[in-house]
Amino acid sequence: MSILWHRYVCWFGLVILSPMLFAQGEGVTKIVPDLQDLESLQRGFALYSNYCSSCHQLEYVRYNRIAEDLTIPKSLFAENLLPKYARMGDQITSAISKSEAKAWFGVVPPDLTLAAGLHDPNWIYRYLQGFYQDKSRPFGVNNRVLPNSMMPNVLEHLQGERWLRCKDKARDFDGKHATSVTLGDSNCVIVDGEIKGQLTDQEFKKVAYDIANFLTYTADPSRSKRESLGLKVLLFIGLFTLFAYLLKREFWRDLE
Amino acid sequence: MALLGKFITWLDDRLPIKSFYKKHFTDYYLPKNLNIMYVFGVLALLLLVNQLFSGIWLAMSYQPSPEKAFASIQYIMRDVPYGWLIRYLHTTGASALFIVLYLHILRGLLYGSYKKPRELVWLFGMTLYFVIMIEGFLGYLLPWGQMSYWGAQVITSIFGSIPVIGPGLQEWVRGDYYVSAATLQRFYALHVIAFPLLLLALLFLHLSTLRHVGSNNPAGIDIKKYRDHNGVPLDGVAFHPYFVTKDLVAIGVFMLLFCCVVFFYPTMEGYFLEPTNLQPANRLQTPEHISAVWYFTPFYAMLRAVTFSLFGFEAKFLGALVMMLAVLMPFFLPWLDRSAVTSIRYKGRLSKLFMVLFCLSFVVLGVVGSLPASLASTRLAQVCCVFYFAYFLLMPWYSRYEVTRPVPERI
Amino acid sequence: MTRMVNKKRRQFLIGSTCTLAAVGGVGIATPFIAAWQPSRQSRAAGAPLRVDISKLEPGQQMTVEWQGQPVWVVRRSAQSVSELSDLTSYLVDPFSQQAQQPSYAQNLYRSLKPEISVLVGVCTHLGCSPIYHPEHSAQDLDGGWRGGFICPCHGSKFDLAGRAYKHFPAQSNLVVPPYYYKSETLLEIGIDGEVNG
Repeated sequence: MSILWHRYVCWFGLVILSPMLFAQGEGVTKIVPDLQDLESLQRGFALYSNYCSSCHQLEYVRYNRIAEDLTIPKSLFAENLLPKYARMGDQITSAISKSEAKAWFGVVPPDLTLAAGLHDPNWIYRYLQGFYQDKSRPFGVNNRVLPNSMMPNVLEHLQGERWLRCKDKARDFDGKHATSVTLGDSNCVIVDGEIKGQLTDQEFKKVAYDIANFLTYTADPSRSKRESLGLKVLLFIGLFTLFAYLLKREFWRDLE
Repeated sequence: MALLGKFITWLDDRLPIKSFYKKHFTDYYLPKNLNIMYVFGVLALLLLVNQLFSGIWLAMSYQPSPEKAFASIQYIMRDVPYGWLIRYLHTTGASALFIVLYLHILRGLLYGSYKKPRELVWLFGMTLYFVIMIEGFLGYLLPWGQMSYWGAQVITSIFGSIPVIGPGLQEWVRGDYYVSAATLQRFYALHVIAFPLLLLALLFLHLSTLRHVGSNNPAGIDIKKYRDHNGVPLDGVAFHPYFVTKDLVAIGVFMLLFCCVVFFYPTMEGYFLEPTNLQPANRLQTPEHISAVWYFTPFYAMLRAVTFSLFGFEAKFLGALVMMLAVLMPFFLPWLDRSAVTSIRYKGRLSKLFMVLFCLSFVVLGVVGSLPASLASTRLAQVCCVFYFAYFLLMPWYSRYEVTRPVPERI
Repeated sequence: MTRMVNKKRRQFLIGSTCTLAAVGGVGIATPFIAAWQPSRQSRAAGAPLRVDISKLEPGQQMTVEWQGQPVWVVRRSAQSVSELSDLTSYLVDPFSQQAQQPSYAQNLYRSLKPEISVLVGVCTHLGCSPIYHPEHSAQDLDGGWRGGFICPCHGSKFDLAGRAYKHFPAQSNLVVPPYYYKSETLLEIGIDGEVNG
């Protein structure tokens, strides 16, 4: 009886562990967010503040929580990173109002707090790199990941101009004709345009990564704490289960 | 110590705790051959307690209004100390409860736990399951995300498909022309007060009837027939300490798995918490891919499987009817099963075949229901529907006429 | 059933399993108890508050909200300040012996600067908010009244430094919140000084 019991436990454990094993073998192009990399998160927040915050809110995130979790000293944060109109405990709202944004962009720029949960960090990483010149669009750019995106490419001076090149000659693209391509369209590639950006390709990838990493943090700020607490909880329950098992065996000996 | 003894005597004179303890713990005998399938009852009980406490705590910070509901969930996740843990306990607990319940019900089907004299145990249990399904559905609206909203929109539309009274009924259920503040607030009241009370009452009846007739076992043999000179069943083992300690081990192992999910995979790749629900409800825009939460997908697949009209009834009404009947079918099992034996172990080949087909079709329906509808998947769902109902509707025939194996006198 | 039972081992296993279960119970209770503490939202709302006192005239009182309570800032006239030392015999705790103020306000004025008084406007009797009565003549207290605060609920009386008068329900002085001067005219209430880190 008890041997059987044992086998079931192992079997159940395997079922739970198997997704973890599979997760290890994912494709190389995918980024892995690292919430322990505080420097990346800090850079990500700075990039958000500089490039995103004027239009996109982080409605559910408080400044002091960021200072706390990203280990930025509060006085330093208050002086350099806190907007003049805000207090440390405030939630992060954008400078423009929703009606203004609607008038300018046609849509209200979405709140970014949960963006990395709604899509995934990879999506954000690829989206930020997916812009290309398209004069038919309101802001002169289109996006490969989100076709006909309403967002201007605010990082263009860092990345440089990007052009779309398609195998299909009819669609060969010089930034004048409107053609939106979807992600899976293997006939088209994005190439560097004539105007170079301030950053190299590698440096720009890092910028995209840092923003994606930071938004992964904002989507689930308690994750680091959750995982470290979880480990202790599992160890404790393991110990309890061991003792419960010994006790059960002790009593069931009576019945042999 | 003497004082404690005195107090217990004082108490016992007024509240029969000693005899209760004796009757339900030390002198309550369970069959000695109970296997792992018999732990899911206690696990379901544990999860219900978890839902109750985490739910009470969530209700302390949640705000049931369309303007504030979504933000209040984020408030719980970010601003309330340990709010994230309490919410993940509740969301993971909901899914875990359904996993445990499906296994618990499967156990009942396998070993014939619905048969005489346990008909009432089964009926109360199935009613519990039904109430928990409604409870799950009601709770799913509360976060007021896109999936919450459109899920409620679709399910309440089912009422509208009923001929004649449908449209009026749909408005009555919603309290408005669409899923609105009125709907949210009544769902909240039902989710946190009405259904939990009903649930506790049913739970009491389920356990009372069980304790009165005693547990079934994998062999389906009555242990009360053979007793020693003290009246103790020869194949019985006392609940305390033997099964209490065994349940403790089961609880420990289960908690390991449960906490694994709570702390490391709370969204379970989008199955326990769907990413689409991270957008606040928008009544002007349906999300691209909407499906039921995983524990409803088998029934959701049945709803979609009916794509034809019949006898002048619309397909969507027939789909709803099929879904409803699928949920109701198990209620009739005690009278559908005409077999001379109780457990699947001694039943004939036909019973085993239909059992396997039933389980397979339920799983396949679950998978199909979680995928976007296509022609092929609809056909597959229709076939599975037939097997699902065949298990129940043909049972009076195949269970009576098949050849069964002899049942031993004792375990 | 006839086997020998190793009683010691059994007792040990029962004891240790129960202990672990009890520890686990405390562990489970912890987040539920912690969840009742003020949330980040409440703490953000109760964060230190900056108050500009440049427009406050002598004799004037201003009320601000800090942690959901009224906090008064009063600019006392030079006469009022000088009169504070005359009231000793009428008061419960004239020298602020009870811990109703930060240590830097444990002085005759119960404040950092003699003319500026900062007080939590909640009566120390049962929590009503007293009303400012700057006039000298309003109360007959054998000549002991020099202006102050009177509670509308049970008539407790406090002088302009928030000190409680004898023979009234409140028997403690009004609380002085932590505060400091960020600049000459800017108070920060709710915190003892600049934060670093």
